[in-house]
Amino acid sequence: MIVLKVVQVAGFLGSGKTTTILKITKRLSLNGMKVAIIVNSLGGVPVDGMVYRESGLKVEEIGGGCICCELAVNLANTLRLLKETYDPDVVMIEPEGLAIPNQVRSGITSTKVKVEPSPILVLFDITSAEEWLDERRLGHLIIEQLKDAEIIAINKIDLVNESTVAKYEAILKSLNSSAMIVRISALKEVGLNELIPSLRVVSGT
Amino acid sequence: MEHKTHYSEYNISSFGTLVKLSFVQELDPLSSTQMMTMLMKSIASGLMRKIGFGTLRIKAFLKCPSGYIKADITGLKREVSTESTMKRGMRRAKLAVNIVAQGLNEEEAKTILMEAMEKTLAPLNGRFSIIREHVQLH
Repeated sequence: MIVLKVVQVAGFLGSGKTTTILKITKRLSLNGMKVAIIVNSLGGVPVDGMVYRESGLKVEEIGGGCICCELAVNLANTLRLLKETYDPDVVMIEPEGLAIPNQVRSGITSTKVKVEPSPILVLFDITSAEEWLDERRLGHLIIEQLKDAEIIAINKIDLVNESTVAKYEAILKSLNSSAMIVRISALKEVGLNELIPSLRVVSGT
Repeated sequence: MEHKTHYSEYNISSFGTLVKLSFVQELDPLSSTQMMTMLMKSIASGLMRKIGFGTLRIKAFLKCPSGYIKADITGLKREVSTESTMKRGMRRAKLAVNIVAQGLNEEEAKTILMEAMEKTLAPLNGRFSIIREHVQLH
């Protein structure tokens, strides 16, 4: 049986999940891989789904709640249906920005089809770093997301200077010492050559 | 289910709407992008007046026969980010807007969104009608 590879691209609101998935998907498709996307949004109006469709991608939307808790069963069923009806090589999952990555993974592995989850990728918007780690706001939630990461991609590095990236890279390492940390600008397609092999979806990587 | 406590603890809610837009005169691609930028800023400032110190994320997607415009903003400190594929002007379009905000109830979010739509569209002789809306509270 061919195993369905599943990549979860997590991260807080505005971290660049949609852009990152679009760029990774484009590269995987050029590599001959058949990719589908599952996008989850809190609101019932599927803005991200529209964006993906405009790029000609196969998309399934799970709206009106969060796939890490109340809609976890929907995630498992959607994976099974995608496998049965579209048979992709890879499914990219965009959870909503407040989802807890380890809980999303539980939903992924509870599906009835055989799946191989990639290391959990969590995006970190370096331009919002100070605000994000502010515990008076949603810092606790964002830190919980980062602690679940197996790969942390510091995104939007083209918009800040090197010392800022280095400062927050050290902070992220102190929060999660076991995660691999990569620097990317998804929009400018910087760092993706390092990031994509670490997701272990392309044969030989 | 521990996760649900995050939403209630931080008072996060979301509101989304899908509307039809129509304009008396054709709106060229540049003006259409400017309209989206204005709309996002207007929603964001309306929301921030209500919530003050909190998290805010707005995403919008406009689809018309000659292409699309996507726009988003995170908080008020950031610029509105837009991307357009429109090649020609438009008189009709569909527009989806999703708001995720902290410290706001759904009725307030809806009121602010509607006021921002009216404020943005009126000078352009534009109108809107709601196709679908959805509220999600946690």
